[in-house]
Amino acid sequence: MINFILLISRQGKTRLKKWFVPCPERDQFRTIKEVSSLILNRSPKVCNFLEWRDYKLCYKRYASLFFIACIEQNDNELLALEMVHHFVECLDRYFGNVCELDLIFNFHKAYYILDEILISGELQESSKRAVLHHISEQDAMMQENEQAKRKG
Amino acid sequence: MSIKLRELIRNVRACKTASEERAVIAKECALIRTSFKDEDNTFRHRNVAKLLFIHMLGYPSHFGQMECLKLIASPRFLDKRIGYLGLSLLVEESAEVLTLVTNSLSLDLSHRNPYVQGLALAALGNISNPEMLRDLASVVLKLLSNTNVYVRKKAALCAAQLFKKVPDMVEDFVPVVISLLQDRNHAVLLTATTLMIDIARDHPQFLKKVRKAVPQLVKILKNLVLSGYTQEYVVSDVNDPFLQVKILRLLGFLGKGHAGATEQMNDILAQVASNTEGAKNAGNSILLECVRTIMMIDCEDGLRVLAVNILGRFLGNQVNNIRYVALEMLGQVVHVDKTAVQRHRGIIVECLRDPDVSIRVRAVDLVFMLISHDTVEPLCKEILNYLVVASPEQKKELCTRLAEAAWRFSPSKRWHTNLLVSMLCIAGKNARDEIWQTTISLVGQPESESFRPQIVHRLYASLAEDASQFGLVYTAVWAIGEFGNLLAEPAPSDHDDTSSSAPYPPRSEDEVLDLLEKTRLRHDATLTAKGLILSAFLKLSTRFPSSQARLTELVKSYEDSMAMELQARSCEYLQILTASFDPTVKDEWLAQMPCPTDEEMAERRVKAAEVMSDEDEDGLLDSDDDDDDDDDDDDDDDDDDDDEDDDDDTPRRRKKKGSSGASGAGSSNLLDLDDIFSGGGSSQPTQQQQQQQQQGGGGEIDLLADIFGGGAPAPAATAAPQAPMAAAGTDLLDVFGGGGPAAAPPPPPAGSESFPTLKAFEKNGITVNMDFARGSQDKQVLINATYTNSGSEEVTNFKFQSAVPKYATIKLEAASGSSLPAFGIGDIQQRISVVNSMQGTKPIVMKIRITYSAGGAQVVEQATVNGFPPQL
Repeated sequence: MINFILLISRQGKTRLKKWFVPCPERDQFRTIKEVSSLILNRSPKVCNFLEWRDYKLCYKRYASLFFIACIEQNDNELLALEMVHHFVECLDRYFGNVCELDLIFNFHKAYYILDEILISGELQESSKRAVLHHISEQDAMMQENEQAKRKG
Repeated sequence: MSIKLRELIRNVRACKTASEERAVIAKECALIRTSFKDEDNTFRHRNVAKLLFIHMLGYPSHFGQMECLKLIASPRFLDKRIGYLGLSLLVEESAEVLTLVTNSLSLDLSHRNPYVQGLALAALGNISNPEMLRDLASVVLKLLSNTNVYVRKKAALCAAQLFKKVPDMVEDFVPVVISLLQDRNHAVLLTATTLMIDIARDHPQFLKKVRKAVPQLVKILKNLVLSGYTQEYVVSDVNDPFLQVKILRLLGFLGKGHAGATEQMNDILAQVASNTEGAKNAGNSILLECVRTIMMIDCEDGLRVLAVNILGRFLGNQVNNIRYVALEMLGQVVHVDKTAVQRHRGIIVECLRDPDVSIRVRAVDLVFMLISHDTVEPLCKEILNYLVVASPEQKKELCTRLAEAAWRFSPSKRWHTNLLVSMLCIAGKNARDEIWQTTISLVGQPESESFRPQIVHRLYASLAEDASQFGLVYTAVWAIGEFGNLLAEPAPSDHDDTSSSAPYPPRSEDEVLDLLEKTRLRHDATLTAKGLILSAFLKLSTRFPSSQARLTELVKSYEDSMAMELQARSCEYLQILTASFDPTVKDEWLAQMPCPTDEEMAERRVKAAEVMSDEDEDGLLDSDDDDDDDDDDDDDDDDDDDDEDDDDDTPRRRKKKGSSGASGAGSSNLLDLDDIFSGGGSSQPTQQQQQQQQQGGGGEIDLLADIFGGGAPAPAATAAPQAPMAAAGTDLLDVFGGGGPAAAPPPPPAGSESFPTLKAFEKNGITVNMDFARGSQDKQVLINATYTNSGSEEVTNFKFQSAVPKYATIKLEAASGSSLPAFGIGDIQQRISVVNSMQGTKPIVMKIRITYSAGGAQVVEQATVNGFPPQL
């Protein structure tokens, strides 16, 4: 299972973070600092996996963002990379050629999409079409609410 | 006026400095706070969204927690969505706020809108505490059979969280989970297999039920592999790799140790392994999982060969990731099938030189696992090469592991010693003490005489070349001191190609002394080194007959050393060196030292491994080996005189760590006694209760728990934790005194025994006193219990019940009455007969329960009585 997912920019700013195991906030910030310094300093030619404490860190760089997933020791790392890629592709289809700026201004939407893909650290939907369908339905409901609010 | 989220983000990004940003954030926080206080419904969701952004930047935002709750309770989807997001980001799992959400969650879980249900399930699955999960478990179970696929899949993952936090509810879910496999939808299948993996791994009691699903799983997998693509699920030409991997994983767990299930999955595993394309990452992830599954189950050899071949292919792959996972998986294969991995040794050794550090680390691990009697020489050489480029932290560990491997598999002493010397040359600074101590022992052993000249010469040459590696310095200086006479003769060089092929030239005495002096005067010479050199000078006085004067001078130069130990020693040595000192005694003292044999060394390694837990406490040397300014280390003072007392080094070090060792030994002794006591009829329940009552107090509490553990019928909770330690002490002593059959003094003759009255219980004025006498039957004790009431209220309906451990039986006779007047005017007597089958070994323990009415109220008291005379 995935313990946490982090999206950090090349300068080390957190764009998205989601923990699937209980972790107090202090520890979260400490972990982010540790992990980002480890990963940002790696050369681009080395492999995408890293041993850290008792876990494995799988990361991939997409444009200016690093997507980091922390998995258990006996998990399949290649599959973790695939899951991250799945998430990125969903984001891409939703935002249309997603870039870091999209994620900065619409972080809440990124979280919604993540919630459609992962719960409790496990994958729940392997079809991108289904994910996007659900997201658009929920967006439509939000729109109705907005319109109703403006009217009444 | 509240601004839009977008505005806030834009403002923050426009800030040039950190303080500007802080100002903007502070202002916005203030506005948000006021708006929350004003209970403004319309913009609450926007404010919480802004608060979440602020939280992500790292600023405190706890005041938003209650607002999230209000949003969740709102009927609008818009509000709920943000509310749940806020909940997952702002609220920690241990917060009390979380329990307040339970009500909203249960309402949302039964909402008619599946998306609202989805929100609630996601929240419950991601962040919840066991109480919430327990309350809502039944609702989740119902939702698992919901008609809507969306709800089903989310409910399944929510159940996964439930399994982790509330393991006793798993039983209710098992049948539903298995039926989920009949579903057509991939997402549901995915989540159902995840659940089943959790069950198979963490709750093996349901394994049998879950195993029945193996044929169904095989069918699903077959469909995925063989059928054509469905556009929806294909990833890089592979049909739903996520589901395939999950099914393979589950099959691994189900097939482990079960021949029937294994047979059912053999075919499909072979199919997956051969059909899946390994060109892209998705395909490779499936192949990797397939290999892992094959290794987990006990399958036929053909499959295993297939798996190792796949790994071999991976090893040759250009992509770093693939090689990394291959090395990792090979590490697991090695335990099962070493020969298969040996075939790929060449590539693995290549990986040692890879530019990628993660791959190098994995390759090193694998190489160590591959070392055996045939391969030890080339592999150790490779590791030495790797040692040169390893980082300092790694060097320490590597040296130890290499030394261990060399010790176990070395073909000859000569090779072994040479290897250790090479290691010291490369990493002497970072190696642990045992390394150079072992080297010294090896050099000094009588079996090493054949190659000793070579080694000493080699050490000399290495010291001349590079004296910064402390381990090497110590070894070399000691060797020169002990065997300096060998340096006068030339020696052929080693067959090892590390050194030049030219033979070592003979060294004159002056050359040797020059080198020692130079080493001593180095700025980074440790006190240990200086001490060793001083002792070497002394020893050389017998080996180098023509340099007496120079040696005396050299020893004298230590007289004004800043270190106390060195000063003292130099004065002592000067005494020995004076011409009037008795030469026979001197020769005896300075003769060659006997070195420990192999058996003794093996023993020491075992003992050293036991105390190895305090790793950084080097004992002999200061632990800051990496610091070069060891001159400040006063710790080294009493460690200086090492060479004379080499044999004492390890014991002294062990003595220093004696405290931990002794406590370890002490507890094992206590445990031995424990064995004597638990070697009775009730060993099983006592062990369980020992675990219940264990308070981590070590051996003593174990004994204590054991004694109390005999209180079988009543709940164990009230027993040991309340027992005072003093009682434990006296019990122990009593046990020592009266207990063990062999050790105890002969018991006094039966007739003259008299036992003190035991005040078994006293509370609220009610007192229970017990008088003892031996019964006529074997091991029988007659107890006369007296109950008195010294309180101001009369006591009626007094009833006394008691229970004893399994190794004893009890019989209560009727009491003389059931009411106790106040102020101790009258009393009740009751005769109790106890037969203690472990009389002499275990004393009686009794749990008593008293019920009575006093002042119109019913009172119930429970207690444990443990002051029974040990002979009874």
